[in-house]
Amino acid sequence: MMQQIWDLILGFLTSKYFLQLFFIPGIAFIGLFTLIVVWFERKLLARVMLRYGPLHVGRVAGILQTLADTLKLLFKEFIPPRKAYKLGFYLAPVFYASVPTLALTAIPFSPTWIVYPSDVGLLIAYAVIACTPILPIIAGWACNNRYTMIGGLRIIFQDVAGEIPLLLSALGVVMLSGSFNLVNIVNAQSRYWFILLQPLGALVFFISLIAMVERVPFDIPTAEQELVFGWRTEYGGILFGLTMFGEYISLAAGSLLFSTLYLGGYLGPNPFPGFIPSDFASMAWILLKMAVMVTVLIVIRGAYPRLRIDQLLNLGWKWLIPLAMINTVLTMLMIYFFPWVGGA
Amino acid sequence: MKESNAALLKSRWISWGPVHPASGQLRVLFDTDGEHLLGAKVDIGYVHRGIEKMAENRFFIGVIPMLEKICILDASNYDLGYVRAVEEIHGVDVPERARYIRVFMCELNRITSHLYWTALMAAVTGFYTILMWAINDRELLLDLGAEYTGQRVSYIYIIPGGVRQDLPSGFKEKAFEFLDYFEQRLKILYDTFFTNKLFQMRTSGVGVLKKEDALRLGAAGPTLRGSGLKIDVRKDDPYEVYEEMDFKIPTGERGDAYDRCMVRFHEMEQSTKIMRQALESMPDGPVKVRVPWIAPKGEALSRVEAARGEADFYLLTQRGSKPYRLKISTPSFKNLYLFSHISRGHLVADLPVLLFSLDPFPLDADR
Repeated sequence: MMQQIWDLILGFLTSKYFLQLFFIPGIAFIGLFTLIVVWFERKLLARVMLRYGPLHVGRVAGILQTLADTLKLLFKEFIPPRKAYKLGFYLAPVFYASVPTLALTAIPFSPTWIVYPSDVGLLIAYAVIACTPILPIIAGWACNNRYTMIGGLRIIFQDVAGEIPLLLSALGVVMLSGSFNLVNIVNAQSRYWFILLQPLGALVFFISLIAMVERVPFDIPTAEQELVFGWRTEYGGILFGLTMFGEYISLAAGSLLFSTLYLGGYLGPNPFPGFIPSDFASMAWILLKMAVMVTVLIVIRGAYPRLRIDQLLNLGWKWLIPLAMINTVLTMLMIYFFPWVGGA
Repeated sequence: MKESNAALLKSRWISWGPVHPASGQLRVLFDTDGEHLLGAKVDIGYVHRGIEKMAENRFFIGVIPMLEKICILDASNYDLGYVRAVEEIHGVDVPERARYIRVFMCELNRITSHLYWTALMAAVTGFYTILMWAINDRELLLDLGAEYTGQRVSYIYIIPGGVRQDLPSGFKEKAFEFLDYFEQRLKILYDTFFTNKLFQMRTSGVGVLKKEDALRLGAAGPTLRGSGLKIDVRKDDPYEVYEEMDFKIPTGERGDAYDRCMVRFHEMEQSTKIMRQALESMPDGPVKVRVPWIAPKGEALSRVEAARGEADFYLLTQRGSKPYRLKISTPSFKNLYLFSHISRGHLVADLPVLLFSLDPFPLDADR
């Protein structure tokens, strides 16, 4: 009897569902990712800005600074504004932090390591991305503050301008691989990565991705100098922490999606095929590619000022959408004249 | 479209400051229709200290530390304006070497002030890297000032009759070493910040101040010169040894925020040139003469070109050891007056750029 229960527990603990829930891409991954990437961003930006960044907490280069900050936020009191709509005020950041994690379910970390294998994995990721902007709008409205309201309204404009080119530019990848299934898309890149065949599409995707994850130069909804802190102005304590958490999870999801679509996803050589399981090697490769993407996004933050909302709309509607369409047409011609390029 | 926006957000005055990440100690009241500014006005007076009145109860020399606090970023220029008024009343002739040192210190302060503005301008456009770089470089300038005066910011070194002390030995070499380094840093700032495409997009065409409006509304300093007018006290009414210096007055063409930024940048270049010349052609000799404590009855007006524009000091004395009346006219006050004019028809996102393109210093405006 005991043996059976023991086997059951052990079987559950080593099952794929458990590992996916608690390790990659589950709780351990997103927790560690945010802790490390916030520290890494502060450290790298500090280098760009000729200063030190976190230095003391955790002995080695302030590595535990983020953990200390999170603990501090946890002990702070919730102070909702008097006229706020309380339900929206409390729930919006909770969902803002949890919804982007759903996008991770569609990302393949190896041919078999995928939480929700689906033939329309790309569309699932897009559906999740389309859901996230609603929450800041609710938060901005629920706070009943002028600055948060303007920040919320800016999100509407920004996401409409960013999301359409994001969808259109990935169309080229879908045409080349002939599938919405992210595993098929990755496998189609076994000869060469799609960033080589789709440089224009990758550029458009990348720029609209920055707009969607609201990072410099497109951090317009939280513009500190204009709107205090945009739609997050009224949040303090761990509610603020959750909004930051959601932002970094969006960053992770966006980088993973870019790596999957254009950088060959989990593909990469396994140096010791007999020694390292192929799943591990695949995970290492996609995480490495994600790390490269995150680094690029952080360096961009150090190198550019912020754009204005009307300039972003101009960029989105007058440049990115036409370029994405041109990219689609070019891909069609490419497939028609050189049918061997695609993986399909 | 506009109507529906207005119904959603209504039209209302929003306070931007005095408690705000980017406002400083002043308040901007603005009325919006969604993202569009319907009107904006500046509300100053949060840091009024009554310096003009306080000056009446202090000895002539005791006024100086207080006057520096009008605009602490630009201490030497404000000192110089007041000190020159005092000297005019006494009829003192200042030694030649002191004049050169004064010019050197004034230009040093002009650069520190402009660098601080560069940092703020970078911060309001969301460019934190340049904020840090400019503050870093300003730190070296403050160290150079401290090498001479022992103080980093508030020097209190320009006094009636000259300057307090001569330059320490080895100062010239250190100053030249710094200037060599700083000229290279200016090139880097130019490449990374002032010609950054996104920075140009944010500032060009924003807050256009036409020539005639600049004159009509009484703009001052780089704001005035950004509109294409070559007006600078250092050239028009040269004081100390500015006529012997070889420098240009940078001006803009279109009078937008970008032109004002570029004027300030080129002024930094010209200031390094002036500092270099002042050090090279500095004669030997004493650096101060005695000025009596008791002033005769009289009045004097002195003009100086401070970093933010022309500052005027009107000093009226009865026979005694304290000023009878000191009237100070400061450039930030004149420039903040322009704000509601240049902010017409812009977006909320332009608000900080508009404000900081005027380089306002609330303490300077309030006195």
